[in-house]
Amino acid sequence: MTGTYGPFMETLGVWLVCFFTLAVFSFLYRDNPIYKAVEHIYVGVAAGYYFYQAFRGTIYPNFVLHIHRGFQAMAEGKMDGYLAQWRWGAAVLGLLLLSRLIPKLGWLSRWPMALVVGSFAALNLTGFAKANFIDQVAGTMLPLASAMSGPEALPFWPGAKAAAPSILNNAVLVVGVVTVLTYFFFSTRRAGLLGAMGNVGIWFVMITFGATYGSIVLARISLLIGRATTLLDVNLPKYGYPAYFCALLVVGCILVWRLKFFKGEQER
Amino acid sequence: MRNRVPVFICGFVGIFMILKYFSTYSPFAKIAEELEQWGMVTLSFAIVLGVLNLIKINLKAVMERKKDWGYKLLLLVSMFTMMIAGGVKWYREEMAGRATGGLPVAIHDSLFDFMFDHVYFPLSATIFALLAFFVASAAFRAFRAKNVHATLLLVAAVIVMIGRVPIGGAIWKGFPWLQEWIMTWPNTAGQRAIQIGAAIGMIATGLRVIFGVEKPYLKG
Amino acid sequence: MNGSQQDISTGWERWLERFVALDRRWIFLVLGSVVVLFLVVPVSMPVTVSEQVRAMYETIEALPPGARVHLSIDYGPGSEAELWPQHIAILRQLLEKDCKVICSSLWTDGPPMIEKAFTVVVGQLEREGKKKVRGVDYVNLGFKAGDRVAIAKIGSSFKGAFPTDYQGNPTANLPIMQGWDTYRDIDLLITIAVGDPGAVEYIQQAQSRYGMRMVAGVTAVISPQLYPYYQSRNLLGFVGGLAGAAEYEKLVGRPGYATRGMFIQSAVHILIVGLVLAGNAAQFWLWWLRRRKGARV
Repeated sequence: MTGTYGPFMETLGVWLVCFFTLAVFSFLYRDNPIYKAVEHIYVGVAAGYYFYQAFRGTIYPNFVLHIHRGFQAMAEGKMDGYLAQWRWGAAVLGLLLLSRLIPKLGWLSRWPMALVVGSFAALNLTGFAKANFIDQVAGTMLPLASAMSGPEALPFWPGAKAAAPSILNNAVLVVGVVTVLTYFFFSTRRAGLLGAMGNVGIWFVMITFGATYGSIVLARISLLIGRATTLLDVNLPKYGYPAYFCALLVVGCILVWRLKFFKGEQER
Repeated sequence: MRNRVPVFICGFVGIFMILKYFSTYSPFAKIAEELEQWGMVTLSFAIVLGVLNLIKINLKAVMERKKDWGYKLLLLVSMFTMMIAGGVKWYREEMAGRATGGLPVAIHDSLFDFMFDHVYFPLSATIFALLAFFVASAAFRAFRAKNVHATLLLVAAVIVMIGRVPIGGAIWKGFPWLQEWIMTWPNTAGQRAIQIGAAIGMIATGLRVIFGVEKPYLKG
Repeated sequence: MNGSQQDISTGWERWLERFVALDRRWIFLVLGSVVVLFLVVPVSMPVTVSEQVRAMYETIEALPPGARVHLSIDYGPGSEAELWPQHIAILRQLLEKDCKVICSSLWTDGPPMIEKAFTVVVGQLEREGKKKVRGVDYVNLGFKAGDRVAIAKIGSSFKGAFPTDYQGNPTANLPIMQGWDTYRDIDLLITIAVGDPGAVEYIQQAQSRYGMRMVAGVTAVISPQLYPYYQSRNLLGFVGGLAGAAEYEKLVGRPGYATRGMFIQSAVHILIVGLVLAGNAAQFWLWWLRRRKGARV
């Protein structure tokens, strides 16, 4: 929190943070009215925020301001001012995108969609070709025999660095890339040598996915630690222990709802 | 008109963007750069479209008193509050900027910032944090060593989980080493092959889209 | 004798079946309790720095004073817990080295995160007697829609892509933006990113296109994807997730939030590995009991 609000707003803010955090966590028990309410507030605030950013970040500076400056340049008799008026095309296409809201005119939104798809296709084509194909193939051209010799060529030698290249490490990388690519090669029946290579490829794929899963766990737990740390850090006497009281409030509300209003499983 | 114009726009934009990449001839670059501006403005209108659609659907539900209309009203009220607060912040910043003659002045005490910090921030962060619980539950209920492949996946995941945090090294010095080795060599190999495969697919799809063989923008 | 043995095995079986199909809310409760418990009992743990994190630190450390750095902040509150510690550590390192920091974002959520980080780091430096001026030493160019189209545009003209900064002032008038306009004038590109658009898109549209020096700070989910780019030297280094941030904090010599989180991260990982092993052991035991029963029948 870096906003410089007054003491009252600061306290109110801390209470809101605690309440919203615990209200979302109440979903772990089951879907409930408090969670639903804060979920709708979230969507509403997010939409309002995105709307602001779309205008403030792009539509205003890259269209409105550009056209405005163009008119000023035109008044001064500069050629740039006339060229700037091309930008109206962007606004026309942008507005055509909104035609999706009117079912009869929805087909007009294909024009701006074509612009977006065309630009993404072209940028992906060049970007993937260079960074994901050429650079990656070049990165796989590793020495397998001549560059290293002796114990350092073996990755499991005591004291060997895990990330340091060695003959065996380089071989693991090269064999891995080739076999996984073989596994993804569907144009011919995988049998014999191709089948065996494909099988080795699956092992690499499994290790890769395992490593990714381990990393996902790491990431998600970090987010939980973040929320828990925030609750602990703001649960101070000067704010009146907001985390404790908000927890009581949320639990109390859910208890009342469960005992008085919950109509059983069919409600879900 | 309905189908030919989009095919032309897509091809035109695609070809100029590729020409900009390969050529230093300035008119190509100028046209491509203007088209990039068009793309940026159009994509921000996509955000506006999403918001207007949300307003349309929720307003209808509130007017017709459909199920859960109260929640939808809450959504609309929070949305408009945020929009108005944003407008006020924008105005204040413009005025402050003019007063200093063009040196940026940051305003951090607006209602917009307050709502971002104390409403949007905790809600967004906690919704993502919920996933931690589901990851833990999935680890217990679904992560089974049913065959050799699943066992490989499980062993790699366990080594990464233990080796990536300090406790791994405290248990056995080999854990961080093994973790780093798995990430640097077998993981790099697997990821690289996936990336090369994706690149080939992307090049083929890109060409098909630009030359009008595939027309994803005509769907829907 | 035989009958009582069968009863025991059926009893175990029932118990194991119940354990394997345990209501997930018990797991939620255990996880929540472990986090709270270990949070209130903080213990510091030694952190080992990995190669790619050290490489990133050294790349930034090698920048000369006055170097121009494009710091793209492509994350929001949803991944703040993972990326904020890296963001703060990197920004402070850059400003301490007197680099010119040009921040922007391809994510709508990004600009306030940039503002927060500037407020914290510039405030810290000011208290230490080092004054940094907005628009001269650093700038927040705000959000730009357009994903990779925006990256392509930024590469060929910063002022074209960002006619104004986040506060609405014309970028052409800002002292920090004078005398340069493209990626060829940038000494280092850094992205702190959570997904798409993020590090991979910057590598594709900026690094590989302009051959620029680039490092990245990403979430742990993204980091496995970056190893190939690091090996092929597209990336000169990267930091992955909270664990990577703890390593970075060790390198810059200011242990902070990430280092503090490593103890409970360790505890929770042990819990999750325990859950995986318990689930598998129970399943295996159940399978063995059923097989034995089937053989007897």
